[in-house]
Amino acid sequence: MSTIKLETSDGVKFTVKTQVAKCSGTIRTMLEDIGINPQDGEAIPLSNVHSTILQKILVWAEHHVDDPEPPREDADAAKRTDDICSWDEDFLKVDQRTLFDVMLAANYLDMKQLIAVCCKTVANMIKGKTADQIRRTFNIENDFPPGEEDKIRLRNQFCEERSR
Amino acid sequence: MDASPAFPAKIWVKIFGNLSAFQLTRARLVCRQWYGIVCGEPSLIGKFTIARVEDFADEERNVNKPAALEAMHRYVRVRLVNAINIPLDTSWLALGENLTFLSMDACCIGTDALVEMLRRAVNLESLRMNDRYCFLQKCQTAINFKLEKMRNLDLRVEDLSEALRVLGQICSPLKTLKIMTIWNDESLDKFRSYLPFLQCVTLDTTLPDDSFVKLLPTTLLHLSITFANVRERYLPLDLSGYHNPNLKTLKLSRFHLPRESFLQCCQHCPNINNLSLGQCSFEDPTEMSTAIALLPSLATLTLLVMSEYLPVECPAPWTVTELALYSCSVSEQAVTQLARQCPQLAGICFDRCAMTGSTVVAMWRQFGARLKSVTLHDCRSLGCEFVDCFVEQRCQLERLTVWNCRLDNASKQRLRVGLGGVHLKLK
Repeated sequence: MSTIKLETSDGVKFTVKTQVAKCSGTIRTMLEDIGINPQDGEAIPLSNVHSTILQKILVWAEHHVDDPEPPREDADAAKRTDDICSWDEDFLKVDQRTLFDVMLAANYLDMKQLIAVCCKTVANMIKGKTADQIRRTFNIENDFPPGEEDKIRLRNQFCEERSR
Repeated sequence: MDASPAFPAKIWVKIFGNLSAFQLTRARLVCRQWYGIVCGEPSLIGKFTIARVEDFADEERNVNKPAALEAMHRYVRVRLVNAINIPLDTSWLALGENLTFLSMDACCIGTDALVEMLRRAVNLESLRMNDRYCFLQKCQTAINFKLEKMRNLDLRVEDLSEALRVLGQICSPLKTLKIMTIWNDESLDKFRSYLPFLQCVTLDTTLPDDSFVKLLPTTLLHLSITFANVRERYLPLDLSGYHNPNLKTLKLSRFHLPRESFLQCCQHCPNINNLSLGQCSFEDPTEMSTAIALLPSLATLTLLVMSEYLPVECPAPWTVTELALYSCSVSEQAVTQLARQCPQLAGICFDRCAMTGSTVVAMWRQFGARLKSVTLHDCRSLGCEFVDCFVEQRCQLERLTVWNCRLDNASKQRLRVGLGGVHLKLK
């Protein structure tokens, strides 16, 4: 089984099965298109990913390495967020900082499946909450100028669910 | 923790993509960044329909409305009700390129404004105008725009053939047309020449004769015709000349069908799989059941106020799997006959049917073994006795709906306990 080396932003080197590393679109492109030769023993630098996060992501990739390609999603289709598998659910039971770091890293590494499952997790944190509760959940400051929020609230009254 | 600003907007769009329009209205209240993302992304703002916008110009009554509509150009779906006097210089014209869906009820909009707006709405796919006034008249003289993406149109027009001419020029790829018309021209062959891609026609008409039938396109997949003159009861409709092997759905309302007319229609349109007859009368009372037996792919049958034509003796079985009866009085005898008539029946719906509990029990004894879905709506004289028979003999029932049938709480409870695993809707 061939392996490659990855080096994180904090200089930690990981030896990873090539197949697992290829869960990342970014690494796949580096290997296939740009022609970085893993046999050289030179580590691929991942300058945007910290070792603690990469470690976590590799656990996920290892678990999902044999997953079939996901079906092409219809952008307009109503999306479900209650279909996260229980392994992923447990995997993402982490503090918000870590969850967001995993998402950023997954985005950088171009791991569509992982991004999708993270997005669903965050969407579930938004669902059923008022704007105020959402702000508290994510520690976001209300930066609307005075009166602006009321205007939007008013506009919201004119919105309704798209009927299908 | 200041996580939000560090996130690329692209990721927020993906996250918000999982939310419904209602949840998005809350998300956009959170902060300016989120507001910008929700409103700036067509796939997100596209989930919104702005609705119930009343009276644009009445600032006295509600000064805030213009503010509410300030960002109208962002919307892709708009539903207007009672919007009166929409002036040209308001945001109305800003409903431009993004708009894909527009519905108007009881609005009073000048034709100039409407035509101006439509001229810009090049991506409009669906337009519904349920008003007597007619933008088409204006368009006749000023057709220099096209709505190439228009697929669904729902209009009231006065002169149908003129309307078809105009529509043919503005939106010839039209697939679905729902039209309410006061007839004054018989040249309906314009359907074919002006709107060659029509698949679905819903026609509400007060026409005095049925000569339009032979002019209907034979490429239609769905056809629904209603005689909309409420002063007269039925219009004689001779369908014997309509040949359409493509037709899948046929709906007829308030017509009188002379002898052989419907029978020949069924022979000439053998691929109908969804048939609906409402308040129709037949010269030959047995013709309906004979004709329906001629449709080899019929799956869904809906009958509204048609009890006198329910089969008495069956010459040949029906292939129907879903049967819905509205406002039909159904006796035990009729139910027994239906059971014989529809050997493949899997779902049945009774709505506002005069039927007793014992008829339902008889129905369940007859059909029970094959029914997967039963719906009882507004059958007030039902009583609660039938509940026992459903619970004792649940067979392969998957769905049971009992709405507005005066079911007492004890019976509801009995159904909930006795029919675990069955999808229940009780009210």
